[in-house]
Amino acid sequence: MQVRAARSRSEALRIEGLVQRFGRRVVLDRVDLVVEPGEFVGLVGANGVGKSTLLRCCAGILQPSRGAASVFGQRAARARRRGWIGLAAGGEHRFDRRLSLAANLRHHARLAALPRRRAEARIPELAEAFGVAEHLDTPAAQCSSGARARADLVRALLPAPRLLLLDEPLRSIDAESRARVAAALRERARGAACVWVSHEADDLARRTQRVVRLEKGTLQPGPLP
Amino acid sequence: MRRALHRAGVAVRRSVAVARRDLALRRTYRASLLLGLGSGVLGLLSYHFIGRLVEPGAAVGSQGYFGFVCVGLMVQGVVAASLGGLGSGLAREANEGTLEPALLAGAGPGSLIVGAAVTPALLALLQAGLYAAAGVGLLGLDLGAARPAPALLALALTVLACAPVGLLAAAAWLWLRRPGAVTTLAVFGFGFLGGVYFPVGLLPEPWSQLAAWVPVEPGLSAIRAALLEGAGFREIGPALARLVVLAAVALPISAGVLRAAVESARRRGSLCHV
Repeated sequence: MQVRAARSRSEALRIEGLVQRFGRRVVLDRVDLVVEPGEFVGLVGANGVGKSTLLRCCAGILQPSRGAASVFGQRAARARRRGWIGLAAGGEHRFDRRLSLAANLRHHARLAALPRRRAEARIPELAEAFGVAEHLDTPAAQCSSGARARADLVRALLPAPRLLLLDEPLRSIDAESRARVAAALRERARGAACVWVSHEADDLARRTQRVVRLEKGTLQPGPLP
Repeated sequence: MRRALHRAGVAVRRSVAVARRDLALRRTYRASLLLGLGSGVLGLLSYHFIGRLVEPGAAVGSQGYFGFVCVGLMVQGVVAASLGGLGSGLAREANEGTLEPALLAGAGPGSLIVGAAVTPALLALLQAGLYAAAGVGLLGLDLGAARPAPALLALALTVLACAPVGLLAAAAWLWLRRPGAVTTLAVFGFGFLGGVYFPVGLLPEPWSQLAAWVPVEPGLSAIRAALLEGAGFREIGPALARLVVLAAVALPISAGVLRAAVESARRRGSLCHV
């Protein structure tokens, strides 16, 4: 039976009784989570536990087997179609390789139906904030994975999403730059709710307001023991 | 009504964005683009000489076999390119890793699929123009009586009536991850049963009956009549009406199949997988 998430517009994200099965394998088992507007929530868990799957359910890319995720009172798929959700996932293989990063970002802005002037103003501004401005004219194939990861963050923030989903966004970014990128994220995503997935619980505890861990398909409070 | 119009406008703008991106990508392969256009014109030469073996007559029209097959190849090129774009649009985005970001931007699979067909169709149209120019300039084709407006309308309706096959190919990719088989089979079938290389009247039963259901056949008859015989809207009206009926019946069905395939892929978690 399909459980419908209560549609509260005051909650940025509500996940209620969410079950995700792939064939017979139950990846997520009755997951519940509420994220308030402006709140940064960390999500940790071992490899293959279903963190990315949970993010894709929240993004409306996956249809849960049971339960639902709603974003500001709308079903996740509907919120996605409205452009309310941004998702960054490291960015290594998420660009048209022969086009420059700027061309990729402009294409995304057009798909997101952003007004041209706004896009032309936001792309260099965000690229500067994330330290990728000097690579904007470089074809994505010739950029380092770190530059592509930063550009992926720029792309996720371009339409000013209300919910930001981050799937190990700092994975390819060197240790020295991580603090700067994380600070830019906090600054540029201000007002948006955020679910931030990472393996590094200590890192997440510093960068988010609370951390939940995914274990055996269900959410537990607190970081990994 | 206003909201629906707004949504349709946004969907069209998204398709245009995909077409612009594809054109920008094609321009990064300039040499291959020019070679592709040029080699098609060279291929036309063979048909010019084959055409000398066939007497002009009722079966192939007053311009002989070369005029007949030249128009057939022009139309088949546009149809094949459109179907290829429709069928492989999602697969291409998934291969490149851009499908998920595109969906997150709010673009629906439909906008991405339609957008993916625009650039190949326009390039095929350009190639058709080159065929016509080479045919007239070098190979003795006479398009003096041609009426472009009815021909273009017939071409647009032919593509529309064939589009369901492209949508089914996109659905096949979502289910089987192999879009090429459906498109290749359809293009071959359209070439054989649609009258691209020879008049369908030469086909024995039951092939000739089957040909009546292939949208390329009425489309090609109308386009040949408009380009080679100077037929106007009135003369090709019945063929256009047949194309409209075929499109009106098949498009909603194929769109429904595609929607079901997208929802199934969302449930299985394979929507953005390669």
